[in-house]
Amino acid sequence: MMISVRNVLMYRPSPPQWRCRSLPIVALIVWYCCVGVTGYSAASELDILILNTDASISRYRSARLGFEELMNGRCLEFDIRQGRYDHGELAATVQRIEPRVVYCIGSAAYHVAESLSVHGDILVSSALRPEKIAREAHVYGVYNEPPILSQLVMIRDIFPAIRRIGVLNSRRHNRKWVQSAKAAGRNSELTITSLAVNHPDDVVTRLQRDISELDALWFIPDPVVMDSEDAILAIFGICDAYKVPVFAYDPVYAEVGATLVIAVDSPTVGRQAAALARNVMKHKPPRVRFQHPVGTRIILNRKNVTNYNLVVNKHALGSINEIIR
Amino acid sequence: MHAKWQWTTLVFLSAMMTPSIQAASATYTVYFYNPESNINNFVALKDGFDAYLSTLGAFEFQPFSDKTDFEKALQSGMRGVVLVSSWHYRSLRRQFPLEPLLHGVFQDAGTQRHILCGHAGQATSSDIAGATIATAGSPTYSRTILRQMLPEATATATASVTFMAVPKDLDALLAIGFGVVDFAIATENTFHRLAEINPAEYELLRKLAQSDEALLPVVASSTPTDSNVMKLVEHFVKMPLKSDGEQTLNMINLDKLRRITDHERRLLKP
Repeated sequence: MMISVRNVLMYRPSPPQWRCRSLPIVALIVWYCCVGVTGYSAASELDILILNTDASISRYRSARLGFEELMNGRCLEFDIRQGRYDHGELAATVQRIEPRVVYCIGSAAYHVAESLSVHGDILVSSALRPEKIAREAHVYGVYNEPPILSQLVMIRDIFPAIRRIGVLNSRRHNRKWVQSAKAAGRNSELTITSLAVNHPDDVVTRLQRDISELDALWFIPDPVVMDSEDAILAIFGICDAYKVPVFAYDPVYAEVGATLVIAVDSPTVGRQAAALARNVMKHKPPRVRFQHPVGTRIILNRKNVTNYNLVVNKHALGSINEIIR
Repeated sequence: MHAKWQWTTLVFLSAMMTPSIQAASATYTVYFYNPESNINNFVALKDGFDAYLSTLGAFEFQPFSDKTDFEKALQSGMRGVVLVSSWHYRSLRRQFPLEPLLHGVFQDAGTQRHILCGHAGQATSSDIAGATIATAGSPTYSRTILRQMLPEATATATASVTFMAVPKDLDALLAIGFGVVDFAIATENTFHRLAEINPAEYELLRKLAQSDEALLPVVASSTPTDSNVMKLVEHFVKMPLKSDGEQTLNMINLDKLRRITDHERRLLKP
């Protein structure tokens, strides 16, 4: 996909010796010129401000590209990476352009938006702990993890013979999540078993006790289970020894031995945010204010598939984005 | 002097022969582009096709994510075959003298349909104006297929639709249940697959319209009688006989490629 550079003005503050107070104004003039070139009205161009936590991070960059795909480049972006931006300049720009929507990519961007007097609506994606943010009435957004239903549908589609799936979790953090997963699993004829622990020291013992009853382990984000890197490696090591595949939610786990990763597709997150922004700007309240991400990116470790003697549905291979051989 | 002449003659002959040797050993390319599905597993696809084809001759697989780039590559001198959706083939043959040679087969069928789905009991196809539709196809393809599925819808109504691209058909169907989109476009095969893997989610959806049957992707060439093109076609037909070959075809949602019949050739006429 080609993104036209002239449609996008990327505002990155210069190093201190180059910075000048007139930069946002210059940027806006350049941007107005771009508007003229691309044929969009100036009023609509000023509607959206993107605050990007760090545009050099791939998933943030992809979300922004997805957003622009549906908004046709009608955005002004600030990269606020590592506090290298001038808060005063940003605040002045916000006051000047009065954006109707501020799209925050990542937690840091959201915290910056909160500190500005933004009159428009705030849209958030790719943020940590979005559940807390979702409670704010004026905030719209997209959650950060693939929904339980999407993961189970993909698992069932790709591995038709797998039926008993264990989930290491702490009740304190994931009791409700596990309840939802058990209910959703029943609709796909999958039995979800909770391997609950109260303390990081219990994880290995619990897994070793129950692993022979499992066809697969579903690795979910849980602070007790993921107490340390060693703890995570121990979990993957035990599963590998028992030839039990691990299903994970982030591509990073493909590198430590996950057999299947069902991750969020970042460009789709950006497109969802754009669709929300369009609704908000048309005063058409979206059906769901904070949405589940609907696009999935799937990685399959074929080496594990062979070593563990797993059955893969060949007609589901078209859903796989990346294969580790 | 005699030796010098010998050297000169040898260099001259070598220079004369080089182009023909180069031409004989030049790589033949499989140009791949499919706007009907949001295929973005290009690294895996290139690995898979190249692993199969490179052992059989000077062949390579070149996937494209962008229609313009794809067509530019063909314009700059096509050597080999294209593997494209039958919908795209129809428009492509207006620009390039392409002859269809093979077509894809999936679950014993050489054709497929796309369907428009909505929330059962809530959505009707008359609500299409201003709707958001999840689709794994390109916006151009999706708009064309939507017009075909809803001939009674006004041009204004179909033009006002927003297409939200998602990676796969299953994502598109599930997006309705999450309340993210109003409708989804997916293949009929995927809709039936959802019925098997999650009947509850399937029950939430209703098929509102369907497209005409269309041939699965086709392999075509502007030089069908070129011996290397003929070899390439033969290797494609034999691809499912090798386990790795079959798996690679599965990754573009095909089981095999078979020779096109006269009847199927007629289906490809505009």
